[in-house]
Amino acid sequence: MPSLPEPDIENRFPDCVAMKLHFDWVQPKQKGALSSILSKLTGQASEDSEPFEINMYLTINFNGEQEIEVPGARALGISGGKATFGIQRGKLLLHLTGCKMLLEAVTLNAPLKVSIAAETQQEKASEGKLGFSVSVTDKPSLRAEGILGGRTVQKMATEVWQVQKTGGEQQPGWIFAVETGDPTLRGLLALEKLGSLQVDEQSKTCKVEATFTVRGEDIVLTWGQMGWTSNIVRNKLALIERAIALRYIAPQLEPALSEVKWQYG
Amino acid sequence: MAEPASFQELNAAIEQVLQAQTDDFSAIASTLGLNPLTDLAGANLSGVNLEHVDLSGANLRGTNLSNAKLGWAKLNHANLSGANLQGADLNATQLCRAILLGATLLGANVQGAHFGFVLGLTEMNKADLKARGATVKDVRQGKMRRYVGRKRRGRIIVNGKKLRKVQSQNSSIGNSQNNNR
Repeated sequence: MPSLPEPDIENRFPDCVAMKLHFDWVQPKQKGALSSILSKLTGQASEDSEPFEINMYLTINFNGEQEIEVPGARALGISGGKATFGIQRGKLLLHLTGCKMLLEAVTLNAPLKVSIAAETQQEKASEGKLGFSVSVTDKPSLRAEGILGGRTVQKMATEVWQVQKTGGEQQPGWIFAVETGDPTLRGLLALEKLGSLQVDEQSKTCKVEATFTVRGEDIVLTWGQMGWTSNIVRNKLALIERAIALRYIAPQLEPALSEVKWQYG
Repeated sequence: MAEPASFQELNAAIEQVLQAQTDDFSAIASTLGLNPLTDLAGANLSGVNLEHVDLSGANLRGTNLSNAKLGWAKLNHANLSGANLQGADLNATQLCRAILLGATLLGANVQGAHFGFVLGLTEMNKADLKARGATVKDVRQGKMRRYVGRKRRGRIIVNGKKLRKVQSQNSSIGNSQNNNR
């Protein structure tokens, strides 16, 4: 099999979002199920010598620690003149030319999960019992039950999915959104398989343009560890934060925060 | 959406805001080039003072308004889907036809707040708000009032057609007319 080229990667603010895509051929064993179904449907022989399916993997790191020089820093009393920012939501979109990612071949559905304690906490009175028990119930929740001082406390830990699949076969997309109550998305997905690309057999070329975009309203200033303690009226601070995010940072994230371009053939 | 600004431009605007004596929300937003109706979705406005501010029709989707002071503010037709209003002061706030899908109102002071024909509240939510001193009207009540008002003028609209006289053979209309008297 011919070797696959490396993609061109551009991450504008790598301490906010850093993204890479990886490609390799689908091995004949892996092709089996999907190809045999397709060949039966199309009436073509399934024993092609040329592989026409390519696996696609994503590595993406979210961090809320991107330093940026911000306007008004001196007046705000920020030492060093820099603040930090992160995002609470973003969209990865693939523009595919000469190939498509069959919906049934998509594998990244919901891996960036976290386990958080749900807000609901049930308490009920009980008499004459002392102890503690933990039981794992049906996924995706974990139930803990403690009995202390005559009261039973039940806490539910629920898994929250932070990625959601969107789009069709020509423009598949994934939306990443913070669901944990944290101010920004944080976490690493390493070599997570997105799915398989089916290359057009006639043209034998495939082009992938991946963009990671962020809306202005999803930018969050985290200010970092600047020791920033200026006593500023809340109305002023809230609107200054908003203005910096929408009018100064958001335009710098256009047209995309991260871009990956890759072409075969 | 807010227009992009250069570093120098926004730097000057921020210095102007910090030096100004006022903490009026609308005035500060204007100085910073923000439109409160379109630029506050998803913003962190916890603890801000929005008393008497008119945000009718504003997009406040996912906005954090926890512990904000919203007394006598106008939020009619505002989109507050997913907004966090925990602990907010909504004393006499107008929220007619606002969208409150997924909004959190835990611990908010809703005494005298007007929740007229809002979208996204369950019957349980409405009962709870009423118990906490809010005025809540639902769509059914609103339609009835408009219907009765038109009858008093001697005109009724049925299936889009305007009738000049109330027809006595229509029992439902006659009954409701009698009931209203």
